[in-house]
Amino acid sequence: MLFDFNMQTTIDKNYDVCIVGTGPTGITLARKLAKSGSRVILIEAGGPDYSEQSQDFYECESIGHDAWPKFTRLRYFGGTSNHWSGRCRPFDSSDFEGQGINGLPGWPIQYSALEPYLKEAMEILDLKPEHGFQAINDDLLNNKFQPDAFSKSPPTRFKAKYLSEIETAKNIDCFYHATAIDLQLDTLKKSVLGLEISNYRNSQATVKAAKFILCLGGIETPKFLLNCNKQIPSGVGNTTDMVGRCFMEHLNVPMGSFIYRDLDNSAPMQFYTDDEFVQEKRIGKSNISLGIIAKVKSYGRTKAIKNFFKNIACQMEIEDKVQFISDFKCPGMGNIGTLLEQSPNLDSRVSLSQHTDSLGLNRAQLNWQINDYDKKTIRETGLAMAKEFSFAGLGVVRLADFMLDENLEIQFGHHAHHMGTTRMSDDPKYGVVDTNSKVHDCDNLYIAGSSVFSTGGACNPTMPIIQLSLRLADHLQA
Amino acid sequence: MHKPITRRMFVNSLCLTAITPLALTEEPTSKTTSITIIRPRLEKLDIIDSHFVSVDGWILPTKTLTEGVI
Repeated sequence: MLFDFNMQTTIDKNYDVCIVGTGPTGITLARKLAKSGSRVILIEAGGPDYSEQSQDFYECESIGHDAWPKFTRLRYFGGTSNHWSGRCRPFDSSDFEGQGINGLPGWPIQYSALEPYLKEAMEILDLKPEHGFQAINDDLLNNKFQPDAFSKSPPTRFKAKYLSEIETAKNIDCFYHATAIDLQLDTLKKSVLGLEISNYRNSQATVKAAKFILCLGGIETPKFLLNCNKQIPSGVGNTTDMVGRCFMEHLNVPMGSFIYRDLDNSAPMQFYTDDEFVQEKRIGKSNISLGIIAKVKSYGRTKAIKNFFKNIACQMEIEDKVQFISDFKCPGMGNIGTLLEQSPNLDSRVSLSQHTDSLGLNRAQLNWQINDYDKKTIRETGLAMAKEFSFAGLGVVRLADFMLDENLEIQFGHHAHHMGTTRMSDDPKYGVVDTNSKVHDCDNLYIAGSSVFSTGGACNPTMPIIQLSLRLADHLQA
Repeated sequence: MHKPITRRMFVNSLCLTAITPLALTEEPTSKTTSITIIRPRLEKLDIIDSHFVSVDGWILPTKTLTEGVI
């Protein structure tokens, strides 16, 4: 059933599970737990559709590198699945075998903990398990890189696919326009008794459940926990000051461009660093994409004229002077795209801003930082790619200035993948949740989503997010 | 009767006249092959290792500089 908390502000049932957030994580958990008979309440802060009023709550103070936190997330039913790209790839087993980076341990679980959920996760994301993950190119680089195998979801929009199922499910009550504002703890502060929610008019209610799962994403989850400071001043789950720390993104570095030796070659390629190279250099993993942009976008006689100037310009090497007429790249020229693993770093963090929202909660403050380990990942990977590309006879790479000159600041952007801020660790000193995604300090509070990632790998996070959610559902049903 | 000038014809003519002077004022360059990877001016030359050099950011096998582009 669906309820608008702006209209229906009474919640008088007790539930088995309260799930906060209707992104891929929350919806996956709700469906799975409801199917096993649990009485589920699903809380969504936004509405069924996008609104500026809701999106404004994602206003975030950014004091480090800019990760565009307000624009990369969506605060309505379906969450950020409403604009994701669909690229899917699971973690490798080597992602779970790391010795630790920057004084922090890696994952406390093995890949075998996620593998059983791969097929079901693929079906949820409208992928064909029988097709598996495929590379788009052959193994053309003999060393250090392998073709990257992945699959493309349509992409699955969780609202479009699952809203009607949630609406008609007998044991799921979904309240939207309901913002989670606090957790009520028992006197020992070890269990959650209730979740306080509010609508935009500040009408409030308390949700009672046996278990609570936060599925709010890598920025909102720590923001919420840190705001729960009436009973524990440092915030719920934060006795070791780990909530919000180790914010990781995937690094989007404009490494450079390339020219294929075969100018007629326009095939895109994607490569992934192999484990031996990464371990030898002690760097993070990388996905490297090579793509030709040679098409003139236009039609009819205008296209003919643009193609004429493009051909002359490329022969005379004056392409930069005619770009104002037509955006193009010369035949054989391409751009290098990257998705690089960032290491967990205590200084890269989400904390609370002094600014508050209309419900009186402190907004998030994001301080996104990279460190020397990440800079080494960027430079070593770029240089290795350039060399292997040449060794393989594919052509030549031109690296950006900052790739070769350590005195220059590295230019980088983000991929809208927010990870690590309530990381998983056996030892509460290094994380917020245990191997079952349960908050260390609390008996019945769980966290799901990319905020629990101990490391980020170099793959789009949606696939492992779904796998971890299915695993958590199994654990809660056991 | 003259054919009426459409907006597209006007814009295309403007582009032709805009680009032509620029092209004419460029110093004549020798007709280059499509695989031109060494510019006439070497802005920056750095040795990467025993196999590679960087020329203006282009990562080239060292033998390219001694033996030429193959």
